Amino acid sequence: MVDAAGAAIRTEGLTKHFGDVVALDGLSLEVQRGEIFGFLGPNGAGKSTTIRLLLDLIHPTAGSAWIMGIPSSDVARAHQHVAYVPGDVALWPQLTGSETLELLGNISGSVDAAFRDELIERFQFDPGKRVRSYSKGNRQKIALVAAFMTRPDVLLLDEPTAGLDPLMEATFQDLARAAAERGQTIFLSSHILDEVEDLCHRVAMLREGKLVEVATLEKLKELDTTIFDVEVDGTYPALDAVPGVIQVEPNGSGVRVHVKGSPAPLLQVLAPLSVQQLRTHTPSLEEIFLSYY
Amino acid sequence: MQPALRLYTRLTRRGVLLLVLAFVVYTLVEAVSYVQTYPDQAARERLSEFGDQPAVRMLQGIPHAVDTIGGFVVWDGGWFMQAVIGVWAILATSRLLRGEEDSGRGELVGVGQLSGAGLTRAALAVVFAGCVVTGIGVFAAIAIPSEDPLGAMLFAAGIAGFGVVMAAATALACQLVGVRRRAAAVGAAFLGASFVLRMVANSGDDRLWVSWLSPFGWMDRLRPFGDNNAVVLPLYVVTVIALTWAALALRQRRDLGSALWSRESDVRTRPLLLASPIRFAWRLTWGVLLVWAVGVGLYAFFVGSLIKAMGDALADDPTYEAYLELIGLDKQEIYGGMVAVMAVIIGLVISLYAAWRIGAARNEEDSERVEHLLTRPLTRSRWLGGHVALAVLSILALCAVNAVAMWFGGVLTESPVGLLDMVKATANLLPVILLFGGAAVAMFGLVPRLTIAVPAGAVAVAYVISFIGPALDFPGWVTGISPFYHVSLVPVADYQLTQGLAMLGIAVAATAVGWLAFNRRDVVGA
Repeated sequence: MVDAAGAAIRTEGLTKHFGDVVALDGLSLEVQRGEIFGFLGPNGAGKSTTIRLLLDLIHPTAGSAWIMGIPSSDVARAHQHVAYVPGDVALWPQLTGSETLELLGNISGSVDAAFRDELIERFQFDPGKRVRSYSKGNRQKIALVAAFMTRPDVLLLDEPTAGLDPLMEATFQDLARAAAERGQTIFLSSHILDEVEDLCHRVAMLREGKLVEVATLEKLKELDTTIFDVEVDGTYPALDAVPGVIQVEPNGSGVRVHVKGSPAPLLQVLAPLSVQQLRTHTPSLEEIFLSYY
Repeated sequence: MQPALRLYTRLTRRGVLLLVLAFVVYTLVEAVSYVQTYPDQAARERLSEFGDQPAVRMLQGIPHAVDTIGGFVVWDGGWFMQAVIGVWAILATSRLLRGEEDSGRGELVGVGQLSGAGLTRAALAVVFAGCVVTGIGVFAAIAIPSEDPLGAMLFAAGIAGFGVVMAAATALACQLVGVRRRAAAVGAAFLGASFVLRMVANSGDDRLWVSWLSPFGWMDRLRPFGDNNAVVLPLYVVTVIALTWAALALRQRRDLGSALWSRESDVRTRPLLLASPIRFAWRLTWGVLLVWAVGVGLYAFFVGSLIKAMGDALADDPTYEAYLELIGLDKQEIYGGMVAVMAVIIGLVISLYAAWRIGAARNEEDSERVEHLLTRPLTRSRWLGGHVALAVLSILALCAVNAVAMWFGGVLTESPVGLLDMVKATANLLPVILLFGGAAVAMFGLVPRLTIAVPAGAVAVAYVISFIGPALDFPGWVTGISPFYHVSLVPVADYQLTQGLAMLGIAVAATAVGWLAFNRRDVVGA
């Protein structure tokens, strides 16, 4: 039975060891229905491990996970609600694109055929060729079409757009938004921070198998630093020691100062100087991301 | 050229090692069995009478110098060793030249400093070297027992030479057709054609000249341990140079990943056998099963057509009485006895198929393709169960092909053995085949990397033990390890029900272990 009000994805203390290597360490998360959830982290942080655990392709060393309230180990039931797109799509080279979609649709169960044809159209995908002659981007399109065409409750996407061109990337974002509006949940692991920034409601950051932050994008930006681009005549005072300043770096002819919390101490230091230019902005997701690693 | 040579050597060295090992053991087993079976000069000289038997002549060749150990090995096992090294050369060459391009890995190597032709040269150098190393192994194995170094050298050169010719021909095929499977099929067709030409040549004395046209038949011209016609050797060299030159010239005229005869334009979608994972596995496997069925069928047909001739020869000869007693046969039962012995060899071949078939499931996992299936509402149990069911059905089909083909060969030569005898003899091996299949499932669950290697190696070791164990008086428990030791000579003898059921039980238990272990372990790609 599906818990109507519960989270789409829930993990509790999810842990995976590969021999001595701790790939994922006590991950506890909840992703709500209709949410587009960004999952960030450098290579080897445990993003793919998490998705493979959610799919029961690998078994947790400790902890548990649920999809739509169903234990992830109950594959026959949990996978009724799931679709998965890997970052590197390996398919049967001797099948054609449409044969592949036919096969994957049959195994999934229910396919919205009209929507499938629309997806093929929107991705400008030619399904009449053999898989072996498709480029990486085209193989990725097959996996995306196969994932969306069953209208699953949960989409687990592991860097799904790595091989797509900007136009197709936009198509993907439109589809993801429309799916979320219909109440489908999207779990998006990605390296493309612009994509996450454009698309995601909430973001989790992973470092060396540990969760370091989960927050909405707005919250992340508030929480975090403000950036001041400063140019003064004459010599710069030592800004590193000013309370609240966490980072100072050269920026053109001036400096870029990252400030956490109130900017008042910095402004006091700057006040007696002959400031030529002072610009301020909130950091992009990329800048936030880099500040974590 | 150095890095490419090193890469290709790494990719092939394990296969070469296995090949050398198998050939050395096989040669020694042949030599031992010769001494055991034909202990005196009279029996040995009588072997040459097989030159009058058309069926024997066509399959094994005309016996030359079969009163020597070396000559017997050439006649009895040479054709088989040529076929095996030929198949290896075809698979290895098509893998290095086509498989690497198909997978896209070739592009990583192709952007290096070496040209396409340079890479082709490196790949061929490695495969040629593998053939030569195998030849050296054969030389080492036969030189001492035969006491004829020149004959041993010519035999080894014939084996290695045939492998090199097949490699060069496959290299040429790799330029003409895209996709590894097709290139290997063209190479296999070349091998098959040259085998058929050799059969034509050996079918009558006035057609012997045809063997000049068949690389397979050049061994009959070399006549190692007999006339030792070293003058035939340049034929191998000239052919290899011509084929290699053509392959390199064509390689320069095509792009990476393309072929001169491309067929990608006429793709048609055939939505057959896509409705369920089991039907889909069947779609992926039927082509290969067909190839196995043709191979098993041809072999069984030839063996069946030999029953009468070999049986007559054995029955007429008093010197075999001791040997027949050793394997527990009456003179009247000689034909049925031959069927039983041949069924063991076919059982061995189908056991290898069983290991390969479960290995195909592992290949789906290794290539990460299975993840598209298992991330849908399909349990691991159902997926693996489908592959096991498919393996069992394919094994039954191959057994049926064997029985019918052997019977058909027998009917054409008027041998006194019926279809029921063939069926009974084949069924006798079923528990052994399923046992090795079960071992493959167990390995798939426990150590997936070794899904094929362990059961296939076990098949070879078990066969050798059952063969040389009694001859060399191994302790009973050593010989008893081999499942082949526990099959009786059906249809002459009765089934050994207890042993058969025990093997079936072990097969089921091993399958269950593999199933449990697969459900508990992680899915692991390459």
